[in-house]
Amino acid sequence: MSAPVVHTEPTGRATAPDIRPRYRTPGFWTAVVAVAIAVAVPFLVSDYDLFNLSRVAAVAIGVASLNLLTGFSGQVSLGQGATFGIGGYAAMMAIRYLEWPVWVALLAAIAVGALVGFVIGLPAVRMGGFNLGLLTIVIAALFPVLLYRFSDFTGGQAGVTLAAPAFPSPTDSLTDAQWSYLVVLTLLVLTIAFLDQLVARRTGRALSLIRAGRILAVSNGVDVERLKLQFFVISSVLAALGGAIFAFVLGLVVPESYPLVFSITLLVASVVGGSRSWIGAILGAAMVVYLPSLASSVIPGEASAYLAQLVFAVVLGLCVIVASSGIAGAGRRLASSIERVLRERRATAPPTPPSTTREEIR
Amino acid sequence: MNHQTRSRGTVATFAVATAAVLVLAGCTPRAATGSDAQSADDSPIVIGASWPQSGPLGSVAPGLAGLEAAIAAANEDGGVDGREIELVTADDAYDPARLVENERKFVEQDGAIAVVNFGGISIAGREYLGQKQVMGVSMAGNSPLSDIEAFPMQRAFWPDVSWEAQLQGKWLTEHAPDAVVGYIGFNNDLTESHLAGLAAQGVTPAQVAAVPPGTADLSAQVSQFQAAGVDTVIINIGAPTGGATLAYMDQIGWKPTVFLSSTVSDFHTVINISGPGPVEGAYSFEFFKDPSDPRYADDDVIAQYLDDMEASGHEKDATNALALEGYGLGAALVDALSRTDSFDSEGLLAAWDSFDGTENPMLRDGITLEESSHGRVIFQYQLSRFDGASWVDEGEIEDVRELGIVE
Amino acid sequence: MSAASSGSPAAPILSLRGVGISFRGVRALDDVTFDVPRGGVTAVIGPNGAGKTTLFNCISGIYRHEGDIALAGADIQHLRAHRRAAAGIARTFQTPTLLDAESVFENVLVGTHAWTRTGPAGVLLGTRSARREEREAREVAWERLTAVGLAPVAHVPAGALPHADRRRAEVARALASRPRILMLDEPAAGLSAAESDELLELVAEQGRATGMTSVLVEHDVALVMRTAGWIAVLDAGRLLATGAPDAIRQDPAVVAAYLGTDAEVAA
Repeated sequence: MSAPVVHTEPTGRATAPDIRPRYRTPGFWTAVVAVAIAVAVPFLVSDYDLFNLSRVAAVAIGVASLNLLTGFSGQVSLGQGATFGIGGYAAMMAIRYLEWPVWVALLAAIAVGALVGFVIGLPAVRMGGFNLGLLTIVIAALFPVLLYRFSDFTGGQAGVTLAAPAFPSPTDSLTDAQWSYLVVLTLLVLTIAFLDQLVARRTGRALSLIRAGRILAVSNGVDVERLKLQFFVISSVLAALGGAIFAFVLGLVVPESYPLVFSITLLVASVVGGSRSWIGAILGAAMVVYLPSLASSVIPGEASAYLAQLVFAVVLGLCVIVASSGIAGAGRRLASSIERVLRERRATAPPTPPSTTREEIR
Repeated sequence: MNHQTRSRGTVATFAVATAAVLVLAGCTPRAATGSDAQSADDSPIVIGASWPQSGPLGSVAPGLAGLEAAIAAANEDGGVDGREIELVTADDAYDPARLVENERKFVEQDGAIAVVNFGGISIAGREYLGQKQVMGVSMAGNSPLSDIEAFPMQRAFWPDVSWEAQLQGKWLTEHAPDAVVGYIGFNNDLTESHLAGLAAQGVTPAQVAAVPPGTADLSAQVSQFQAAGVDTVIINIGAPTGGATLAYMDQIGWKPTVFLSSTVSDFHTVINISGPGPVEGAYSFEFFKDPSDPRYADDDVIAQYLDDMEASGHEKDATNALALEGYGLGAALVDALSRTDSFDSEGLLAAWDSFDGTENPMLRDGITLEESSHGRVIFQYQLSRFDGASWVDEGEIEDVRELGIVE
Repeated sequence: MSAASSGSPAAPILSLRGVGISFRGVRALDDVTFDVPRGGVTAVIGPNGAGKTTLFNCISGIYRHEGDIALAGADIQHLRAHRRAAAGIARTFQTPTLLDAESVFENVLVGTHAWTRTGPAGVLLGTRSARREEREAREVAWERLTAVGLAPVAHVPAGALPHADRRRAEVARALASRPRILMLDEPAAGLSAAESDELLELVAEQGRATGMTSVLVEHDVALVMRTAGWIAVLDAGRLLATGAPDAIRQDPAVVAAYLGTDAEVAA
């Protein structure tokens, strides 16, 4: 599923282009295939792999929330990792101390995320740009410090752990890991479907205008501050949701998991994956989850952390220089070229209309 | 739908499918996992070790080298009961999330019967190990690891840091009842445990400096100590903080009584950084040997240790006390395995809990591994004083169980 | 006020009263007071730096300004920019500003934001009224697109359009907002005489069909004299004169300050 483009039928029509139903878009069917494969995975790979894939899915929700913010509403947050962590803590503490059921705890995380988003977002949308970056970076830097400071409440370094798996399998034919993966996958798919629908139509157009410039947006009747605040809150809610799911998968929350670097890592993952693409969010999340252990298996020891950072930096640099739309964007471009080659093969066919995709024009 | 978008969709779908196949190729098939493979009599005994090899506590990595050397040496000698011990290792960068990830891999993928780690963050993995009924052993001394009632699968190798703190407190009340104490430690639960131990002996530091790992400049805190009239400084913090602070105190000519906690009193952690002069006269309640200390130059056990380190390719870490401690931990595990009834978590745990005057290559002469209490196996300390070249024994070995510190 | 102001219609669509603004102490507009008659084309002219674009930015609410502005008799000076757009003030920019990555159709469609009401929740749920409104918006956008003659390139990314088509697309976008006032900032810049005549004729036609009033800022005095029914002249932030083209052409103050060099062209 990619950034929403209203699909416009080609020339020569006397009436407005149709709103193409979702099931007629290629992205939809790609997504269906992807989900079908993802559903088959738990019956093929080990529980440990499922644990990692579940983590990817949870982080992907966090990265997607950042995509919504940076890629769609044109805001930047260097504190998304903190919001992710706050969601995790809210959910875990609700279970551990209040003994709320898992699903209620998820709702608690969502509520806390909304509150945090509103409190940060209110001044943030007025600031914008550099100042917003600074504000969010301060929050990200403060979060772990506060967790240590109020350790009676947060468990300090030991954090909060779950006494039993958050998503226990209801049936003997599935292990906890299989069940947990399927639950997390479902939540990810729902989140992406929600996001994809959210940035469509009139809202999507308003967002395009905001990204193009404030004056253009207000001149077309867009209440920029209001929409930005709405999206800041929605983004925080999803970050908190992703964080809660991540904590459930891991079975613990600790301050060490949410340093400032984690917030920056999420941002890099968003850029590298492609901040206008939901598939990109999953790719970025996969990097966040797999790169550190991959790096330490290639070069053990102190150098591994640097290797992971180096790979991250190089990929980020490549994205900035050659593929500004991230891996997902580069993939789309590649698909376009393949498609063009295929089309040229059908050489004798009637003359084809000029290429119409924006990727090609760029 | 026109054919452009259709072929685009086909390409995209194909790409997704390809990506999925690639991902699956990197995973382990379901059938090949789990502990089923463990049942055969000649199959290796798997132990997982998650250790900080990078990150804020990357400096403790030699501990893992020592552990590897001990296991390699045991395998060289024919293993345990004809079985090889397979040590699976992974870096956790001192990140609890990665620690838990590693533990899951060891348990679910490698079929490990025990998981070893450095400590501190290992409290994060206790719950999981409890759920999976897999034994966990940490090297570190944090007091929370003594809570074996809540976490019956978790053990720790070093004694509880609060016990040594009690010994320090007891010494202070006996020898310097009017001491004004300043404490320097990490900004984590190690400091809490230590202060709790001092408090149990009626000692409350007038000044506490709790700083993050890696801090080198404590001049502000030292000035504060001086201003508050501190005359006794207790240091329980790793490299480079302890060494740098002692060097600075020496530079400004301030000579209070200094207590170094045992695990941060070795040459690599302190003396090589500060130089021997600034440490001269410092006290420490010690339980392990330091391969860098000249007094062990002719020690047979240390010589064997050095050979084993070299044989396993870790000679560059051999002079680091942490490596010897990792080696000691490995030797303790091998000893427990050699006494176990069954090569599973339950059997290993039972054997680990029943040391009885067991010698260990890292321990000082006269100190032995004992029957487990509070999840710990070491209870004896030797008060030592640094004479400018070497740590020298002061008085007799003290046993915290006999002193009533541990009941 | 100049003598040329006689003949102003009774019910103006837009009334400016004492509109002023300063930037870092520099008076960009000072006490600008005039009415824009309902319907037809009104032009704002003046030399470079006279404050013409600044005036547009005040009317559309981009700048905070002094003075009162009334749209069809209702005060709008307290409304923020997006509310003024929703109230029926549309504009184009000196340099056509489009979403270059989006299709031309999409660029026109964004103009409908001003009068559509579906919020994020409606979009998300795809309610019946949201779908109805979306269909209507697309029909309006398509109709405006067709009117400016860009239907054949509806699916082309706006970034690939030639300059004249970018102007047309921008006008179509403004028209798609169903404006009561359309403000065009130098619509002829970069266009040939034929192209700009065609564009302004198109705007005038839309005005006749919908009752929309056009206000244009323009350098090309000849063009203004041909197309505008009413003219306001600015000089150094102050209103010099308002009136019908013939009156303006003969206004001595205007000739002295501005038309002097261009007088032959204008005649």
